[in-house]
Amino acid sequence: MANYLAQFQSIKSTCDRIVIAVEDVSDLWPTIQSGFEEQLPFKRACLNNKTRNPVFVEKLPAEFILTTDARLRSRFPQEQLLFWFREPYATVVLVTCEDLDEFKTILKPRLKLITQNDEREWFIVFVSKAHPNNDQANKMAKKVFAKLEVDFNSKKRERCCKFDIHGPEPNFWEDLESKVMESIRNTLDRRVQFFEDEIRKLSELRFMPVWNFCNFFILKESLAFMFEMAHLHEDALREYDELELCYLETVNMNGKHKEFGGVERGDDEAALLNPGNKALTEIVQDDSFREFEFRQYLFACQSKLLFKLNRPFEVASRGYPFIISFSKALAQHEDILPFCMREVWVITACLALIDATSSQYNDGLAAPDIEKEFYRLLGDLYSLCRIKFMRLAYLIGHGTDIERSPVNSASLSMLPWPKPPVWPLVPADASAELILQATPRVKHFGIHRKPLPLEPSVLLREANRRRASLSAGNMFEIFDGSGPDVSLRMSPSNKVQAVSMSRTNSSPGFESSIDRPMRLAEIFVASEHALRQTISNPNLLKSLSSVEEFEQKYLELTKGAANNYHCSWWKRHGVVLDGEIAAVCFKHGNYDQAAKSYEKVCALYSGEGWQDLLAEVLPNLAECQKILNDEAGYLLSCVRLLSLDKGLFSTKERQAFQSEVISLAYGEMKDPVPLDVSSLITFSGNPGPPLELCDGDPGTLSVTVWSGFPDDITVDTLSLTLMATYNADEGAKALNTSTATVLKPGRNTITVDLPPQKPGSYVLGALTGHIGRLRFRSHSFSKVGPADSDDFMSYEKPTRPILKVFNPRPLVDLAAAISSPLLINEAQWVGIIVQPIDYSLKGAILQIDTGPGLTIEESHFVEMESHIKLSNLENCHNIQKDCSLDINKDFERLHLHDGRIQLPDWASNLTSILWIPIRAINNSLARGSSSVTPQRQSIVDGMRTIALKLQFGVILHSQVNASLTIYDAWLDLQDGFVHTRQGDGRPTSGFFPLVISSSSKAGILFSICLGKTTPEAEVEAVRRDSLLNIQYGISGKRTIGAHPPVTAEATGAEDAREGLIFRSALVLQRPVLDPTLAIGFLALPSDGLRVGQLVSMKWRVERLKDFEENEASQRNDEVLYEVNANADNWMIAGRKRGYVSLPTKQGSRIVISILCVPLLAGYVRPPQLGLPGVEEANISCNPPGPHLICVLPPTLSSSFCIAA
Amino acid sequence: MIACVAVVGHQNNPLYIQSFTEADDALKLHHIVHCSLDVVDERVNNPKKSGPTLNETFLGLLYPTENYKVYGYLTNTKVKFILVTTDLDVRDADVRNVSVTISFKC
Repeated sequence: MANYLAQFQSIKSTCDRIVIAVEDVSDLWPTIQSGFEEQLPFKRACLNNKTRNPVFVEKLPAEFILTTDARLRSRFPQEQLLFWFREPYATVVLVTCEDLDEFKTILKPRLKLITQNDEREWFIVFVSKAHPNNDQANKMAKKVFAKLEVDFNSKKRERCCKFDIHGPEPNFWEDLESKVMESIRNTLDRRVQFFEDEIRKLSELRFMPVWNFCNFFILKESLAFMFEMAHLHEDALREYDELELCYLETVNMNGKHKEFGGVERGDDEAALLNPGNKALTEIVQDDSFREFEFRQYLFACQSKLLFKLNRPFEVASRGYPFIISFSKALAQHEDILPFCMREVWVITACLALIDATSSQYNDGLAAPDIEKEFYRLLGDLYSLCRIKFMRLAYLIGHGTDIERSPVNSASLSMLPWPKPPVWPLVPADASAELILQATPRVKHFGIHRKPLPLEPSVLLREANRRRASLSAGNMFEIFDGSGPDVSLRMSPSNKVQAVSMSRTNSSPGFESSIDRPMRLAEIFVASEHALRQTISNPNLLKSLSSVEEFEQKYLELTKGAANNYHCSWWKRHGVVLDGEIAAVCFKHGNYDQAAKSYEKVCALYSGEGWQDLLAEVLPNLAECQKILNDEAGYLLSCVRLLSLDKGLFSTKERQAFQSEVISLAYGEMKDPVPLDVSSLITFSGNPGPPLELCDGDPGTLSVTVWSGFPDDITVDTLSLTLMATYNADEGAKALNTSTATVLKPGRNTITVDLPPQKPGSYVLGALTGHIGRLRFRSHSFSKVGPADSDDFMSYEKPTRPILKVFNPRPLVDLAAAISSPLLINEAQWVGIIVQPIDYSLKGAILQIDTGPGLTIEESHFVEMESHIKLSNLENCHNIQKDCSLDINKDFERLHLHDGRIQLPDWASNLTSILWIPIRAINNSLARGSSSVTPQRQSIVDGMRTIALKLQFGVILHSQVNASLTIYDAWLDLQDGFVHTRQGDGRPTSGFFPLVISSSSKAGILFSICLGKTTPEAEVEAVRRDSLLNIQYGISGKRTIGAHPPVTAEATGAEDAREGLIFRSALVLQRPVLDPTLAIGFLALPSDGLRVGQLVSMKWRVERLKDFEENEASQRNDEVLYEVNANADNWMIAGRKRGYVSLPTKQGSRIVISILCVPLLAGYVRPPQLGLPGVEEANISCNPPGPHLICVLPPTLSSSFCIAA
Repeated sequence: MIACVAVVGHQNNPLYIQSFTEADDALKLHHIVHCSLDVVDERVNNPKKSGPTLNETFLGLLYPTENYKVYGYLTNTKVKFILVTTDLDVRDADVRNVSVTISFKC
């Protein structure tokens, strides 16, 4: 069957549509042919696909061919079967007849003969020639057609239709098309079945020795071709896919050495989209095909179908992996292929695929994600093409024109060198060509970097190693002896190819010789020569012919890749390639374009924090900006360079960046340039709580500023903005430093004056300042303290308030240090505790107003000392009673001016105590009080009379908190009293000194008696009050509330200490007890008292002295009496008040009797007899009446009792 | 041979990059790792395309070129582990094991 390959190919090329045979029985075809052919292509085609599902084909091309045509005649049966796809898919039998007899006798038998072949799908078109006006003829035609239908239609299928030549019926063409389609469908189904059966049979033999791939291919492609003719492209594609799978399996399975192909002239140009590139007969090898051509052929067939299916995206998506896998296959056979055939093929394949798919692709037709994927694939194809193109360019010496960027290095340094069996030699006719001399471009700022490699290994070594099989020379001789090569000699393991590559043939000994190792220049020349032999594509040859052409192609490919990646998801790929375009633009002086592209690359790297990569590109951008005189951009780039990791640049380089900034700021700039230095100068508030101020207070704000400059930098002005956190209306307020500030590298602390602010919470907004004509601004906040994580996001933490301004509130608490009485008229310390409440009292002034009765000893200083906490004080107090408060850190004496004291600085934030000398002024004397009010300073306890001697007791109640020492006490008596024994009024001197502890009582007894009263005339001169004098001293301290007077304490004089005198006035009354009358209560009846029982109360009144004449009275012999009784307890019968007669002589008596009835049982107070006319002092109760008497309940009445 | 291992933060910022090449050419591996983030983004943003591997943290082969392969592993916290290998015949399962081991050790 393989012999039919050539025939199969030629049939395929001539046959491209479905054939419909026309059996023209009655010579009608020439008449109706045009009408029939106008119906082509069929519009409502519905065919079955391989899985027998209906598929609608929009336009199915077909061709009517007479059975008598040469194309359908003279075919051998076997030939017919093999190429069955070209046989007619339907047979139209054209007949006409105007007579029934003729039909029966002639036409019918003939038709039977024609239709007896079951293999054919046929139907009959009865052509009526009858004119519409000729009814007779029409009737006859109908009769004949009816007869025809009876004879040839079956129940299942109508096979007849009638065509009026003078005007077909309206639905004739539809009818015809449906019948044609039915026939085609049936034929197609049958033939598909046939081919499938054949293919299955052959597949079963796949592992047999008789297996022949060519036969399988013919069957498979026949089926595919048939599907393609029927416009069932999906099915055709599936057949080719299966064919490819089968081929790859067989090509890998069979261990026989097979010819790969690809060695013919022109094979270097990929034919992956051109199925007719080579005839299959040319590539057949034994029972199969050469891999090189056949795989491309299969891919071309698949692509053709995919394009027909309008799926260019799929061509690209299949194409890229095909090229990669085919490239690997080429690599395996590199030893038989021409030099760099693989690279050239890949380049042409990529370009062909890009051209074909992009020209077939219409924007917006595919879904967005498919579109993006399509562009990504195009980007990949461009990128792959670009890499291979660069490789070829490098081999012929254009390596110096290739940017040693990370992207190029990643692509080329990991791509192995071509591996020809023998590296090509310099041709004999080679002459000195152009000289390419390149030295590494020194980057701006004097940045020196080791160039990235573009080579997987040293080309010199690789090339000569492949020549070494011919001649083993001394490897060291292969180096040119120039600088870089020397370094290679010193470190042979160094993989980095020197940048300097001179391509000159002027060096001595250039004569080509297989015995001598090649020099690099020779390798370039030899490679170029060999490539010219390999490359057949004139465009590619041209692109490698000169540096300019190379650059043009390089730019075209790079732009193609970048633009397509930009349209895809792979933005990074696109932007990175923009950087490569920028490098070329820069080289050609198109700095504007270069800067734009570099900016995109820098934005990409800095946005994601890829500082290493950024450090590679940013100097280039800076250089562009400098050339373009873009001062702002250049400064920003310098700042960004300084902001990068310190390890990325040397100190010298960083200093160069800074010096650029300084020189621009102070010299070259025409106009002030704003600059964002957020990445370089950062700031934050000091750690700890924010500064707290009250409304209206000025303050000083301390801010930490981090400088990323490598050296000190002088900032002319520096200002910070404060932002209110919860008050958007407030806006930012600027705080300025007054003088130029030098920022050291690293941390600096800046202090700014803070004017009074409104209440609220403030954060730092921005840092601005000037360096020369440079206005800079920073928005970023540095992290304070140890970094909590390396997380990128931590820089975006909410800012911490740096200042809180509070509403007016108590700022200081003033309290008495201790509450204690003052010694009258003595200067005493009064303590005031000054306690700041979360507020600094720096510069505060304390104004003191004593109020009435108190004065400040202005002649004396005021003392201030720090105060320990109250709790500590209490503890201390518990342990030791007289523990003082003065566990002081600070102590200072201050002077009072006009009642004002300025607090010292040390007391700004401390609780302190201020001791002020106060004098309580009182010119009146203290007065003693009775015992019922013991709070008074001294008490007259009482008096009693024993004969004529009076004993007068004084109780001293100390109210001071310290102990008192009484040194002396004496009583200056008033008129009418004298001291007994003619003494001086002092108690026994042995009592003194008497110590009285705090809050205790002591008693002093004075012995006095009545003296003579002074005559009335001298009354005014004598004293009406007695005076108690006590000389005492105090041994306490001011912290416990009692202490000697300030003056005494200050002088320390013992006399003064003891010289305190306490005076208290007392009023003594003369004794007045002089009874003249006595009242005696007479005994009550002994049987007791009962409620309701009358009782007679009796009192005896006796005159103890004669009634004195001088006391004039009208009723001298009568005494007024009065009985007082509680009306609830007693009912009194008789007069309660009245006069009774009593003689004026001593010893006269009278009994007063009153009838009473007790009302309540129990102990009750009896009625009392009083004498209202007589002073109480003159009445003696003898015997006295009882206080309480017992009253019994009334006796029980038995009259109501009933005996039991 | 593994040429480079990288840990990339959830904002695509490099956290750690270690290259294992002798030459001073780490920058090219930075580039490869950085560009491979395009593929990670694409897979994360297009769950349809990822298909059944969506729920898997191991992203598999991201970036097949002729000469090296890039594999990716995505953690729940969107931290990526990127592996660049020059071994072209590496098995997916092996790389998956390496990735998982790295993720646990990190």
